[in-house]
Formats: sequence, C-alpha cells, structure tokens
Amino acid sequence: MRILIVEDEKDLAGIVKQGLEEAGYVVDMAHDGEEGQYMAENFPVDAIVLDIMLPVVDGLTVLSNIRKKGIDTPVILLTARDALLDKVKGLDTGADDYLTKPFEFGELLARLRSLLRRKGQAKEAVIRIADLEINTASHEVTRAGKNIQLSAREYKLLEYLAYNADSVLSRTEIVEHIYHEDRDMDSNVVDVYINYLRNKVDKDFDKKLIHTVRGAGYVLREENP
Amino acid sequence: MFKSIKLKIIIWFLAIFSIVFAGLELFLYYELEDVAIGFVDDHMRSEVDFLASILKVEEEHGQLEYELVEISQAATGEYAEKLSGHYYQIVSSEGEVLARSPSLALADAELPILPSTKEASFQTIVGPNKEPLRVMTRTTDFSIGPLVFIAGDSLKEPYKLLGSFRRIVLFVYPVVFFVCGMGIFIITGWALAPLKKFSTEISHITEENLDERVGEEETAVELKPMASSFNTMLSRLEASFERRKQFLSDASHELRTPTSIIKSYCDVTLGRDRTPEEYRTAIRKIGDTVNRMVELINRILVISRLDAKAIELKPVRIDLKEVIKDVLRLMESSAEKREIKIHTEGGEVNIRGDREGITEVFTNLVGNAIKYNRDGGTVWIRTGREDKMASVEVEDTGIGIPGEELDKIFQRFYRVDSSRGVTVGTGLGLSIVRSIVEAHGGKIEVKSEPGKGSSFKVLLPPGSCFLGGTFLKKGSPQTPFQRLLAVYLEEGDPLLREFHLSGGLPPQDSQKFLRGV
Repeated sequence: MRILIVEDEKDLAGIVKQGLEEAGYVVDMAHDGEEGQYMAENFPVDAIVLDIMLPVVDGLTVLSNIRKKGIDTPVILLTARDALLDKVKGLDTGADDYLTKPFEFGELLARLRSLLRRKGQAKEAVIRIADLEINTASHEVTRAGKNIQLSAREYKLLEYLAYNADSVLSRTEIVEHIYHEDRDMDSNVVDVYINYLRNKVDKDFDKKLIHTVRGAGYVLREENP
Repeated sequence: MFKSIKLKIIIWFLAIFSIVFAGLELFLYYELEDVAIGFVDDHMRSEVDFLASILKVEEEHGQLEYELVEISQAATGEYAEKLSGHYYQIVSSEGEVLARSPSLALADAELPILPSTKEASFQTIVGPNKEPLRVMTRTTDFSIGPLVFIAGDSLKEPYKLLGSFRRIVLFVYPVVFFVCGMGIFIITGWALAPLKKFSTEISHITEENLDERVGEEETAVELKPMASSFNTMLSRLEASFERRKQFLSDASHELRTPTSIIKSYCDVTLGRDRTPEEYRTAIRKIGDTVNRMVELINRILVISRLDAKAIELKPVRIDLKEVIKDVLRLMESSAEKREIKIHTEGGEVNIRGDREGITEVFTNLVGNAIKYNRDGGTVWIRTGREDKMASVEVEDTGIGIPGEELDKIFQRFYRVDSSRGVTVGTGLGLSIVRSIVEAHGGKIEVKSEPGKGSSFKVLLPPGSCFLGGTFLKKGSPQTPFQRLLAVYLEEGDPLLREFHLSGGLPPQDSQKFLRGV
C-alpha cells in the first residue's frame, strides 16, 4: 500500500516515513501544500497523511481541492491544535480521520489500517478470503489454520491483492502500489512474486485463490464452482 | 456597621428629622404658651383698669372709701364664686388689704403682696386653691395714697390646653417618625436599586465572559461614568486576557511539533531491534530537537517575563557602536560562510539602557539580516541620531518581506513562509526585539522590498526611561497613583504608552513627577 505524507517539518516527515516503511508501506513525501496536492492528484496513493499548517497552500485547502477533483483517497489530518473547531472543519472538508500532534506512532498505524480497510470494505484488522486469513496488524498469514511464512515483499503483494479482493489489478497498478517510484521496477517482477505467493498460498490447497486474468492482470478471489 | 449607605442615609435623615421636628414642636409650644398666658394677662390688665377707673370716678365724687367696700361685695360672676380662680385684691401702701373679691373673701384667702410699681408686672405662683395662678400687680396713685392692685387668674384652662398639645405631640411624634422612617427606607432602596443592579451585573462578569459589558444606556445618569469606566477597564482586561490566551495557545502549538518529532523517533526506533548506528542517529535527532525546544522555551520565558515586566532592565551607559561590535564578533563566522559582507557606518551613539536587552535586540536584527540574506549579499549597519533619538539601522540585501506581511512580522510565532528556502526560527525573535525596544521607550520601524532586502530601524531615547515594572519595581509602588500607574502599564494602556513613546518625561522628571504625586 502506498502512503503520501504531506508535512513541512522535515524531521517529522522523515521519521514518519521511516516508521511507515518499516510497517510495510510504500511512502511518498511532500513538504508543502502545492507539492502535496500535485502528488495526491497524480500518484497512485492509497492514503494521505496531511498536516494542516503547511506553507504555500494549507492542508485544508489541499484537501478541499483534491476532493473537488473527485479524488476520494482516505486522508488523515495532522494538526498541532486540538481545538474542536479545527476537527469539525477538517472532517467537514472531507478528511476521514484526525490526529493531534504529538501522536502515538502506533495509533497512526492503526488508523491508517482502519482507513485502508474501509476503502476495501473490510471491517476488521483480519482480512478473510475463503480460508485465507491476513492479519494486517501483525502481518501474520494463515491458510486453513496453517501458518504461512512470507517475505516482506510477498506480504505487501498479498495484502494489496487482499485489500482489493475481487478486483482485477494490472501489473502496473501492483508495481505502483507496492514499490517505491524511485526504484525503477520492471512489471515482470510482479509475475515472479505472484509465482512465489502461489507456491506458498495456493500450492498445497485444492481451492486456488490467486487467479490470472489474461490480458488484464491478477485477482485474489474465491471462485464459486 | 456604618458601611451601609442605606443605613447611613436613614440614620442621618431620622436624626436631622428628629431635631427639626422637636425644635418646631418646642417653638410651637412656647408660642402657644405665650399666647394663652397673654390672654390671661390681658384679661387681668383690663380688669385692673376697670377697677382703677371705677375707683377714680368714685374718688372724684368723694366716695372712694365706700366704693372700696362696694367692690369687695358687689362682684358678680366668677369673682363672686368662692375660690373660682379669678381674684382681685387692693392693698394700701402700708400693706393693709382694703378690698378683695368675694372669691377670696368667702374663703378668707389673700393673694401674696408682691413688690409693685406703676407698671403692671406678672408672675406665676401657687394660688389659694393650690392651682397655678397668674398674678398681676400694679400701683396706682389715689388721694389716700398709692393703692396696689393685685389680680389673679387661674392658669388651669391654659395649662389644660398646653397639656393636650403636649399629649398630641407625644403621640404624633413617634407616628410621624415611623412613617418618615419607612418612607426614607423605601426611597433609599429605590434610589440605590440601580447601584444594586449594577453590582449584580458586575458580579456576573468573570474571566469566562469578559466580552460582556455593563449596559451604559439603561444605567442612571449618576452611574454612567462608573459604568463607562468599568467597561473600559473590562475591554482592557479582555484584550490582555485574550493576548495571554493567544500566546499560551500559540506557545503550546509551537511545542507540539518538536514533541511529535521526539515521540515519533522514540516510537519508531523502539519498534524493532536496531544497529548501534541507528540508535545513535535517532538519539542525535532527538537531541537536536530537544535543543530546538529548549531555545523555544527560553524565548517563550523571555517573552512572558517581558510581558509581566518581571525582567529588571538595569540602565547603564551604553555605546551602541560598541554593542554592535560585540554582536558582529559572534556573527562573523556565519556571515563569512555565506560570503556576506557587513559594513558599519556612523560614529558612537550613547544611550542609557539595559546592556543585555540591547545586545539581544541587535543580535536578533543582525542575525536575521544574515539569515534571510542571499549568499554573497551585504548588510549595512548605520548608527546616528534622529529627532534627539539614537538610531540604528540594519539593512540587508535579502529576500525581503511582502507588504502585507510587514505588520505581522512582530507578532508572536509569525514566520515568513518557509517555502522561501530559509530555515525558520522560533518566530519569537522580532517580538522580543520590539518588547525590549518599547520597554526602553523606543520604537522600531521596518521597510522592505521583496526580492531586494529589508531595513529595520531602531530608535532609542538617549536617556531611556524604563516603562512600568522595571521602573516601579525598584521599590514596590507606594502612592495610589504609582499603583494606578503600575496597573496601567501592566495592562499596557495605549494612551500612557503613547505618552512615553512620544518622548514622555525625561527619567529624572518622571521620577520627580511620580514622587510628586
């Protein structure tokens, strides 16, 4: 999953980026409102962490601008003020959640997970597809109660497929959402990782969950016989 | 006990009322007594005149002796009745009773013989019937020698009249006293009602609703000045409260950012095991951020102390040129790093002021001139005099400040957009500069052209007279005026500030002025 951080305080943005990356996200950073808006509009991000006090264009204006353009990417507002008015204004402008500085990093992660689930219509931290269970908080994956060990890359791919279960995802889409833009990736690498995943997730089971859609991409779904 | 205005009014009113009323009653009583006794006296006088005229007539006819006997017997009415209280008696100059009214004769009583002249004299005595008796004595000459006429009239009737007057007064007095007392009680209550309402209104105003005002329109004319000054005071209080609240909220806001950096570093770093190098990096970052916070907290403290006039500025003789030289020594390296040239112009300028404060002012101004300058730029520092004030101008060739932001740069926590590629400070520097300059009775002016540079000019009075706390804190305020002045300065009354800024009084004169009042 790909997260955009818009925060002018570079030290804060840096450590949040590090923390999010360590939690398995792909992170983009912007240091002012203008840059943030451009990235929100043009980059395939899954969620945005947006500071309110930003140079050039403030966070609330950025938010209202991207919402006007019909971009419904989930947004968590960050603010140094805990005035109720700001919260109300923020949520009214189209924010999905709100965090007051200083925040618990764990809380930011939990709220991000919750927003990403909401996007994929899942309600719990655990995503279930047939007998496959993916715990997005602990990154544990089981199938039919059996633990499956995945590498970080494999997990990222599976989680992205799971959040978008039943939707067909193109190779480009997958690359954009699970790899950082500055590392030039061949979309063939997706095939390689899909293959690894299949070996671990589908191989020992009759019911296959990862499907290839010819000419379109891949989809994770439970096929009804 | 006498703290109550109402009680005071009632007591004073009733006291004055009692005295006036009692005086009036006494006056009336004596007047009445005079009139009543006057009647009796007149009656006796005419009686004696009558008797004397009869005797005179009879004397001409040579029948005086006979007539004297006749008078003793032939009386009618009250004089014929035994001890009726109406008597007459005629006595010879030897003291022999020649004639008396039957009212006396029947009881064989006599009226006392009192010293007598030709003029009628009156006296009140106890009569033969133990009654109060008014007697009149007069001597009239006859052929047989002077005869003393003594007439007596009982005062029973007039005394009865006076008695009932007294009784009426004694009854009426408490009633009138009570009625008037009630009346004044109601009137004072009614008169003091606006005051009570006013005080109720005031008592409802707390620090929570300082925006409320006392209704000046509906207040009684007498209370209007009070209501209006109370409202003015409220406005000042509110503004000062608002300022402090804003500062507190801004300060906490500013502290949240470094706090979140520290917290995020801790949370993320402790999230997993790391290499020593990673820990070092994290701790270094946290350390840097803590330093930033300390700087911020120090500045917040300076500002709030300056606000509360808790910093004591010690006036000493300072050469501004010297101060700038000291400041430049500290700044040299950072200027050299970015190849910024610093030119100083003008001669020595002496003022009286606080060395530390003035140094802080120019450290900030010169620091900004370097920080916001372009690489290879120039800073000019000019010292001189202007309108009897010492002036120092710091000009740079930096990014400049857009016109709409010029007013805001002295506001606390205001920072020109960091997008201009300048590392931002605490946003408190210029605010501190202005506070210190104003505490010295000076002012600061700024001119700027975006893209070309800015120029800050500090004007300081040659013998700075310290404002408010610094000046008055020396000894705690003593006279009520000094206290008032302290309060005014504490609240930053704009008028008074204006007065000081416009040159105000030279220090020795303001000292004198304060001692005078």
